[in-house]
Amino acid sequence: MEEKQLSEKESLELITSMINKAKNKVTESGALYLFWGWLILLCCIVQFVGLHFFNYAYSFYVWYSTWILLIFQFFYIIKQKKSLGVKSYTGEINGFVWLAFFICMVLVIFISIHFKYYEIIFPLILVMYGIPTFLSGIILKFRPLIIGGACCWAFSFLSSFVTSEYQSLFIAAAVIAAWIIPGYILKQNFKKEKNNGV
Amino acid sequence: MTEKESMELITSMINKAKDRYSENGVLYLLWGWLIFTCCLIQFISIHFFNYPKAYYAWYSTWVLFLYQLYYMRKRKKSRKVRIYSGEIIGYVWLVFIITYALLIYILVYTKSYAAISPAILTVFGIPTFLSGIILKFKALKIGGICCWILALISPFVNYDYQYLLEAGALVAAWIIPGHLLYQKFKIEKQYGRKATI
Repeated sequence: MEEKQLSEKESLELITSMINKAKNKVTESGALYLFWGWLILLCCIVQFVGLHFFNYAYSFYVWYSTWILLIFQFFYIIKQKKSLGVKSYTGEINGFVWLAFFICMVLVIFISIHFKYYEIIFPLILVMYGIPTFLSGIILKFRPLIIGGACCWAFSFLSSFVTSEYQSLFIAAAVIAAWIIPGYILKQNFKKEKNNGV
Repeated sequence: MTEKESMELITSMINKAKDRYSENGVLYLLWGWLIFTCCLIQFISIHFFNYPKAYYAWYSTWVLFLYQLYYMRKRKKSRKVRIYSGEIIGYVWLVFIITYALLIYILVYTKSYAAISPAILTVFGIPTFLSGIILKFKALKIGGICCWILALISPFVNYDYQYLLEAGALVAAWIIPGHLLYQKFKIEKQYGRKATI
């Protein structure tokens, strides 16, 4: 086979194109951010309205709907994994960031319930939300997610001053800042990139 | 340049950057041993002497924190190449500090003292596990998982024994991987090649 001679400029172009290719593969479509963002926002509002206006204590049952999305996500990720041939380094790290988040989330909820410290569940969840959001922003070099993560931490700090009824509103605000807004921006970018074939 | 040559150039650059970044494990060891000692002091004083004020031992962490700032500044100056994974690891530790401070603040503010130790163990697992993933270093991954297992066990034990679990987590998460990293770093420096441990 004849070896192709590459100039320095050409080899740089080759590297850049390879990086872009890999980048596109991890380009977030924003779908999961939007699914989770909207579902949790809805749960927060249902819980707040149920507690505040109807004094209905069992409105927290609405959170069980997250299990359905979790199962859906499982199949969605498997499908996506099949369609993506190459697994990039950043994509892999990002996946583990979300795995660590999931483990920690389960652990802090378990710890709070075990000690019957119900009033700290939402502030702790907010602290946890900030972790994968901020780190995904760093890994994908996507500022709205970095800002979203910082918002989660600011809200977690503030939420410790209010009763648990109002804490759900802080979660609602956090998912808008951390997942819904960045989710739409990611979706828009993804569509643009797909249209332009970049 | 042929394709092969340009690939060789890239590989050599990557290796250069890798060498410069290569973790020497010093910070893992310093923090690991200091916090391990604090945990033991607190356990012994509460369990054997019923002395509750041993938490003053934790103030020593401020000294190490100041030293770390100096150490990192010195290291930054000597390092010319900044690699992507090193940057991410820096942010992982920043996230750990923010999360740790927020959790302690929330738990103390709401007087949820019993949850402090299990929550700390949960948070310890994050940077340890993720650094293991980023550096592709199995000992750190295992260390992170150990922290989470101990976090799950911790709510079921008496609060003085929770300090022993924390000490155990430090051995698994920072002290053992720290020693392995230090050993690897020494071998690499001595022989100028990559060591596999």
